[in-house]
Amino acid sequence: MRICLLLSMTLLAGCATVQPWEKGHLAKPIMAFDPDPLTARQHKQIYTSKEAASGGQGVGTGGCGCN
Amino acid sequence: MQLTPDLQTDHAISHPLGLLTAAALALMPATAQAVAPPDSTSVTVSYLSYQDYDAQRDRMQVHAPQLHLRTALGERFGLEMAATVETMSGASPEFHNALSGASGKGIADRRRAADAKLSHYFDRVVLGLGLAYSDEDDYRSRGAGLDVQWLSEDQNTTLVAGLGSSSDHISATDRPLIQQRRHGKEAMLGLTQVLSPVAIVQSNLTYSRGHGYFSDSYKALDRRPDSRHQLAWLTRYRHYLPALQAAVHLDYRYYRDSWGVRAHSLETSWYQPVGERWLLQPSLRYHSQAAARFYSDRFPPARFNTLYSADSRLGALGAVTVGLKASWHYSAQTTVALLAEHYQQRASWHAGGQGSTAMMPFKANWLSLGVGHRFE
Repeated sequence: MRICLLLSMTLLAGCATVQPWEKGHLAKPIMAFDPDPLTARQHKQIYTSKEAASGGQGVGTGGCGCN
Repeated sequence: MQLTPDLQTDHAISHPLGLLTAAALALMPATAQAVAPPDSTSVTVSYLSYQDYDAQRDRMQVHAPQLHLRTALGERFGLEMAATVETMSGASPEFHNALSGASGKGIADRRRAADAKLSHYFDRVVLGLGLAYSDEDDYRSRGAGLDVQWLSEDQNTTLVAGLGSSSDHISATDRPLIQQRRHGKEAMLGLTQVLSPVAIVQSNLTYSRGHGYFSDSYKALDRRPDSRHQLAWLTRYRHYLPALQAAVHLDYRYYRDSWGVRAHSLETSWYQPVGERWLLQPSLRYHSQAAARFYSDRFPPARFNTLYSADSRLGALGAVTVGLKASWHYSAQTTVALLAEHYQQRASWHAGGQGSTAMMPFKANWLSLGVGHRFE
């Protein structure tokens, strides 16, 4: 957890203001956080049903019996 | 729920990879980067085929057609919906690796699930209301969430806060007397930050508190606490490599809960356009978890009337997923994608220790074929 916090702070400390005209690469679909919503749902369902950890994808996403 | 500054995705159609970029929108709607409703309607249908197994036999098989829709409703609203019907069959362990199918019972179930999210776009604020529903023969879940995003004036920073709740009803097909409930509440805080013209990071912290019935009525002698508090911290990093016109995705989730489970999940993907029409995406995921305090490698337990579970999913283990997705852009609006992944779980892959010795290696394969279309 401390490593994650340190990493986040380092990344944020290193960021400079990016102008709107510099965001062409960031706007590409392959740079999206969830480029494929159906695969994201498949993964959530599979990993929730086979592992003990879950969550982080948002609020109010519901649960399952998950045998 | 994604958030990033005002980045419209219909730029670069005149670029050499313009067709690829435009077609990708059909399968990869750019929700992540919008403070305005989507400028087109996109529909994706896919079919998932899943099979898991161990050294002795096949376990569960799942077939699931899936549908996803994203559209604008006027100038200020956006709607995203998904639905699936999963048909499950096979056998699930009663404890450790002993399968219910071994006694001839087996499992056959059908899960119908749908979720929808309505977003209202203001100038630099997005308000989202989400609903989720999942129904099986022996389990019904309802969830609702509300979140709000604030964008900074330079649109390089986005904050998100969300609240959610869920209400589940649990029964057992072979024991009609089991009629139980579980309720949960969750809160989320997140930050998205543009780091440079080629890098962006998002970090979301989610805390949830659940109360009610958490035991698994299909697991022998399973008795779990009647509450569970969970913390999930997901950090996602995206980096673009202009020389290769490729993107690297790196996701890390730290997880801990009141049952004593501690987990680390690390995932990376490489998005590589190939020529005008192809996109290849290899991926690798590693997950490691410590066991719940009441998990035991013993069966039956040494003492009864105490918290106990021999469900291997609560044991100490490590897991690896390797995958490859290939997308073919038939046109600027239509994309076909095939995803193949292989998953393995082993006690010996648990980071920092031996893992739960009662568990045998577990494997799964899944394939997903999808077609996406964007309506202009």
